[in-house]
This record gives sequence, C-alpha cells and structure tokens, in this order.
Amino acid sequence: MNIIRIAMSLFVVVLIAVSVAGWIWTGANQPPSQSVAARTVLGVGIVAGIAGLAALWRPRAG
Amino acid sequence: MAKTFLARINGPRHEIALQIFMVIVLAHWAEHLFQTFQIYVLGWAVPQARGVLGLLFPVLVSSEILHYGYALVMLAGLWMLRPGFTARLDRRWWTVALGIQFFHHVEHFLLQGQYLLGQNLFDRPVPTSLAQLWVPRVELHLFYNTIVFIPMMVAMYFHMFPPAEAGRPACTCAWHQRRLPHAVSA
Repeated sequence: MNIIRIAMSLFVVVLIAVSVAGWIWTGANQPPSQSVAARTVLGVGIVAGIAGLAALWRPRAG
Repeated sequence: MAKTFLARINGPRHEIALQIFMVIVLAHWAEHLFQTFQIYVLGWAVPQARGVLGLLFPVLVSSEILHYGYALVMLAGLWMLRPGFTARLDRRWWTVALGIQFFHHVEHFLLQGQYLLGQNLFDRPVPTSLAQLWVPRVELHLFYNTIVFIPMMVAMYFHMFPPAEAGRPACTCAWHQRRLPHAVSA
C-alpha cells in the first residue's frame, strides 16, 4: 500500500516541480499579461497537486 | 450468457483495462514532461520544444487531430471505465476527473473545428481554445493534464486500497484480494 502511495506521491511531486519551474520561467520569458494568466493556472495545478497528496495521505477509518 | 464488452472491462477485465489506459496516459505525460523540460530547463524556444516523438515526427505536435484524438481517448476511457469504480470515494474522484476531462475535450473540439473549417476563432492566426485566449498553450496543457490526472490517480489509489466499509467490487483491482485468491470467486 505504502509503496504504491509513495510512487504516486513522487509523480505528483514531479508535476508540482514542473509547475514551479513553469512559474519561474513564465515570469522571465513571457509578457506580463500572459505571465499572470500562466501563473494563475500553474498555481491552480500546484494546489491540485497538494490536494492530491493530502487525499493520498489522509488517515482513513478502516 | 455472453457478457458485453462494457461489462467485461468493468468486471473481470477492469484491472487490465485500467493498466492499458494508464500506459497511454503515462506515455502522453512523458511527452509533455520532456517538452516542459526542453523549455523550462534547456531553454529551447517553444516551437522547437516538441518532446521526444515530436522531434522525430513533427507532425505529431502540429497535427490538431492527434491532440483531439488523445482528448477523445481520455474522455472515452474515463467514461467507459467509471462503472468499475463501485465504492463511494473512488467513484467520486474518478467522476471529478471525468468532468474536468469533458471540458478539456470541448477545448480540443473547438481547436479541431477551427482546423477543419479553416476559420479561427476571434480572427486569431492559429486555432485557439477559450482558455488559450489568456493562457499560453504549453502552460494550459500542463494545467489541464495535471488537474485531470490527479483526481484520476487518487481514484485509482482508493480503488486499489478500498476502505473497509466498501462492498466487494466485481473486479480484481483491490490488492487485498490478490492475497486471498478465493475472495474473487467466492
């Protein structure tokens, strides 16, 4: 159970890391209007990743 | 009586169907992750960053039909495999992924329509989806793929390790059943 959960979590961490890299890159390489929009969706992606990790690791009854 | 295809892939064949579906999804992810690596880390220009297969076969990236085809496969897979998620938690997370993928598919449908009609929305120089009016395409795809994949993955985790109160599923996906081979046929 934990091996699967760790593997899934590592993949989510990679996705979060890519979104963070995109966040940094877009601020330096895109015009402000596109950068703000890109950072908004990348931020939502990061939040979704954190929510996924929380769902995976939340203690469950049974 | 012969079972229908849908009944089989949501029953005894649910596990293998999900595995095949996941291979497709992860292969697609690999291409997107390579593409973002090329842009964010290697500093390649966006038009040149085409993943791995896209470098060998540029048409894979430029062809809207391929992108639409993948969106359609994702939507069909999420829809067809949903009945196999019989417990409350796994069904809920899988349905969230299906709902998001439905909108993602609509976006690709708009792109495909513009490509086929030769007329782009809002007189843009290239086919444009609604969200693409504001968000650059690479980041938008990364976003859509992320928010579809995460609930899908959580659903599969709950499906593989169902809570104690969940009833007996018709498939063989739950890991505790593998340790009890008689449990499936009982």
